[in-house]
Amino acid sequence: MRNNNQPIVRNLSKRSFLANKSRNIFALIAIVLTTVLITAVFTIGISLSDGMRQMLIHSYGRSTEVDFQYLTEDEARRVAEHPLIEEYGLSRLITVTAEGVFRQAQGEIHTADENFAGFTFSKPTTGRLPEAEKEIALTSWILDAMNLPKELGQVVHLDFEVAGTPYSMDFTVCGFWDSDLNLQPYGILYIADALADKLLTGVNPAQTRLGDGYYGVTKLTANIDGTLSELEENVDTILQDTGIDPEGAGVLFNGAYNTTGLDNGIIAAMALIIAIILVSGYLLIYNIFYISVMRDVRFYGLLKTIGTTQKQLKGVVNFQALLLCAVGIPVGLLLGYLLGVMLIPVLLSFLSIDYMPAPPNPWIFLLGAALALFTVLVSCHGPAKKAGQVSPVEAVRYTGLAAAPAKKTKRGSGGAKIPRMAWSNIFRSRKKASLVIASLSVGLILFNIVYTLVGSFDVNKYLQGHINGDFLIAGTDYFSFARPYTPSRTLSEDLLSDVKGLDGVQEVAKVYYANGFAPIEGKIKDGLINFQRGRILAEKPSLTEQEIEQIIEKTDFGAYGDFIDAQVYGFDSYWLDKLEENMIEGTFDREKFLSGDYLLLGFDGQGMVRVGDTVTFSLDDKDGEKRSYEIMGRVDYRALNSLSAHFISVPGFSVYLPSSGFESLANPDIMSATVIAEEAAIDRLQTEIGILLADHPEVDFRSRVDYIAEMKSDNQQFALIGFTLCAVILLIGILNFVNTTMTNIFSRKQELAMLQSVGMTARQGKKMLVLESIYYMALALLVFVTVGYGVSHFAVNTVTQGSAAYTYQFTFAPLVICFPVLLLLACVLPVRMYKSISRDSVVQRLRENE
Amino acid sequence: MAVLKTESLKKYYGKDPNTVKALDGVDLEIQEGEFVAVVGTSGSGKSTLLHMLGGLDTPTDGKVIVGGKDISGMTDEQLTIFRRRNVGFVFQNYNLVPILNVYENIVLPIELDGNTVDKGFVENIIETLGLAEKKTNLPNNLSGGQQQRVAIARALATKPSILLADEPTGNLDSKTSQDVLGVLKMTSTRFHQTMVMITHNEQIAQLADRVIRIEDGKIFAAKGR
Ligand SMILES: Nc1ncnc2c1ncn2[C@@H]1O[C@H](COP(=O)(O)OP(=O)(O)O)[C@@H](O)[C@H]1O
Ligand SMILES: [Mg+2]
Repeated sequence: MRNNNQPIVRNLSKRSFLANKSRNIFALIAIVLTTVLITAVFTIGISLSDGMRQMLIHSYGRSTEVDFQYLTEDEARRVAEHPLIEEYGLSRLITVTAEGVFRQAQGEIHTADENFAGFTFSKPTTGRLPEAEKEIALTSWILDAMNLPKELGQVVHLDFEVAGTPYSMDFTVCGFWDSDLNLQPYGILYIADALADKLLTGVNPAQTRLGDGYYGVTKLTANIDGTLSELEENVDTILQDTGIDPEGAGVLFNGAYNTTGLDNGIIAAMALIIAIILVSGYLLIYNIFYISVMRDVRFYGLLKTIGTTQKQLKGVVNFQALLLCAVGIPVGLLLGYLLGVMLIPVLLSFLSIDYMPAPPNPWIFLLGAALALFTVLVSCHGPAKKAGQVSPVEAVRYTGLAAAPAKKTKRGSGGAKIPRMAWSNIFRSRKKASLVIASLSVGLILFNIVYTLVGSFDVNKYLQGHINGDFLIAGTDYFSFARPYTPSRTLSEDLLSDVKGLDGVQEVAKVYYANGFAPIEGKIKDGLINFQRGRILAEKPSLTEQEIEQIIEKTDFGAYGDFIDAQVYGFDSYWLDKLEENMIEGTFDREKFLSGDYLLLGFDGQGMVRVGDTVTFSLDDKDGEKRSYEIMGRVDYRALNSLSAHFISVPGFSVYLPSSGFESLANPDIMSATVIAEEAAIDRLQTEIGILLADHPEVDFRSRVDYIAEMKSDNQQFALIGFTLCAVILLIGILNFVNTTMTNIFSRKQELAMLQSVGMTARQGKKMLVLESIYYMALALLVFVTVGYGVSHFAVNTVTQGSAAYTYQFTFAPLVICFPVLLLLACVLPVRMYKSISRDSVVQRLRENE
Repeated sequence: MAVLKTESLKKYYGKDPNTVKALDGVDLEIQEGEFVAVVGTSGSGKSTLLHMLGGLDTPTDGKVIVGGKDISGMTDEQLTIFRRRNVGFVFQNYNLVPILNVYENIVLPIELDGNTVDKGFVENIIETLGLAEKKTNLPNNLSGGQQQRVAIARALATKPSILLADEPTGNLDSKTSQDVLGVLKMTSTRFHQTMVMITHNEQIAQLADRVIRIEDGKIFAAKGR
């Protein structure tokens, strides 16, 4: 029986399918759009996550799961033979050098096999690993630092020592590769085994493990069988089986594999975006099918009268949906994939990810297709059910979409004024009205969010976070952000006075920096205790005052050392206005401040000191001369980010002194110098400062123009992606509106004819339909203005939290942009529709009822 | 004086060779205040004639003269306005606006014309048709007979001189039909209207001042009373 029905259902479906051409086009567009969006988001999300993981792995310097850092050759062999080792690479650390070009980033001399070089991203991209005794392969920045061209055959001179014996040798470059000094702040040099054996004669690697340095220890880097969650267990097994002392072996797990936070962030963002897409898609597809079923209600009623079952009727609807999916989903997958692939490079550069992710897995397509199919089926569920439940009697009496209002009576006798009729018409089907309004306003709200986000980008705020003048000069370290800034004394007064002497330079404003040491005593100790109390209370709110006191008494503050960190800045007079501007507590007295007995407090995470307190610390040296200062006030340290060392020390505090406090020091560190120049001289100075600094490779500079350019391209790319996404969602909303309006007017053909027969002129009819559309728009706008602005405000603030470069900017622009478009649509569409149905005469239209 | 007049009125549908001659040269004169019943088999052209008389459609050839004015040359817009001022229609399937309540449906043509409602007159019609209790009801809560009364009330509301009814009782049971017919007859007399009514029911036709029989788009015989 069941099997016999199947072909009939299919046949009916096909007939109905062919009879619904415009419905099909709309549904197809909706399905394609939804699939495109899902696939694009998947492609982008997965690629980004892969790119970030790759960057992370690169920043850990290896792709393998675990390192055994300090093995003897014998131990290494035993580990390598262990069955749990899946693959491994070997390297011997010969020595480490900090001579010459390695003063800032130490040089590590190793031997390495192919595997090891591969796992640690140090396989020569030009040339090969060394084989002969005098050959060397190295990271390319070493050649740059030595002012040698990046070419094979260059001669490199190295001074180093192995277990106390100094060597001075020339090598021939046989290979090199590029590495990112920011991610790997050291230089790798590979020498041949033959030379290593010679250098290590008489050195017992096992012995060196106990001493000051490591010479000749073998590093084995490996991937272990089994999942990541079993990793530690497996490594323990290996150590036990091989009888190697875990302490001495220096087991190091790759941190890239246990950070999940990053992925979670992307997954959450992806989930949110996909949810929005699914809901928009659902709204559109549901609406299309719902309207189509309502329109064909007589058809379904008729089928039912002649004995089609509910299930078969559902089948008729679902079959049509599946037919559309068969075309729409593959097209959507392809377009979405292409869109994703096109957008990935833009996003990668926006997020400063340099690693091209692997091409997305085929299962993205499966997942995308499954989600799209799921959306379509869910969307059709309601309409299909409706089709199945049509009562034959009702169906035959059914007069189009003019669903009987739920109300029995309608109060008042306001009459049949056109605007009132239009208003009532929208609410004939509350469900339909809400769907249209929802999908329109969701589009508008998203558009507004992205627009506000882009518009809220505050150029001045952004720049203030990076630069406060026209040029910023500092040691290369300062710009690298690779590690906390430590006084390097690379910037000299001489160099700065040369800069100051350049034509057009108005001011060179310095910031001094020193690590201060504040003894844990007095206020500082009280502050720490208070901080501790707060922490205990937060963890265990149930404790009594007394119990807390007991815990604190037992606390050994020696764990912090005898001193806590004070980050001490010395500001040139030029910056005093800026300090005053950013005071958040106390009043700024210029004269008192310059006297040298006062300071301003910046960061104080533990709330150890207050305005009016006296703090005592020594500079640069724990045992140096201690000085006391009174805290004059507190400034917002975040606003001074561009003049700071880019990190905060916890527990600790930061303070600002006038630069006179530093000038008396023996060898003060100038952290940065900001150049303020005449507008007209800026271009010329860019070159001139560059020339001045050419002799000082350890000093670098950035210009305001650099930061503006960087910011502009970032912001533009962000806007591009955001608006593409919004455009698609807005398009879905508009399509939804167009679809509803069209079907709505079509289905009311007879009713409109009837209105005409009792005297409604074409002009009045058009007016009514246009008003209906305008009311829809108005309601969507109302939702947008009330809910939308709230949501936008919340979303924008949430997204930009933690970014100092945004100030929420309320804007009417999206409204002003969208309103005319929507209004035009609301006016033109109904009029065109009315004309198209008016091609038949009133009588003809009325006859359709008979 | 003849308030409705047609001169060799023709209405053809479709193109050669499949033309349907729905009306094929009809000459007719209806006097003011007359109640005319139109009878004929299905597809004979009755509705078409009524539509022509009311200006719902334009003739292929010939003239329709209403109150001395030739309406066959009017534009769509002019016809609509002419209609709502001079002609009241009552259809077999009521054709009420579902979102408007009874009162609003009745005054719809007046308001479409931008006129103020003659409240006394409308109340009078509502009273006459026994709809006073149902004024705020929406159409879907009324019985067929009640809905048809609303349609009649709507047709009368603009005080048209001509009332055109196309099988107004076709969807009603015989008891209700009697009722509605009684009402129609009464109101047309009371408001001194000319009425043309299509019906299949010979019994109903008997009530008319005159019965016109149409066959194949031509007036077959006209018998007076
Ligand atoms: N709009 C139209 N298009 C084509 N043929 C029509 C149209 N209107 C009426 N006809 C045809 O004209 C003839 C008369 O129809 P009608 O006036 O409705 O008859 P009646 O009302 O007497 O049943 C019928 O054959 C009908 O099919
Ligand atoms: Mg008829």
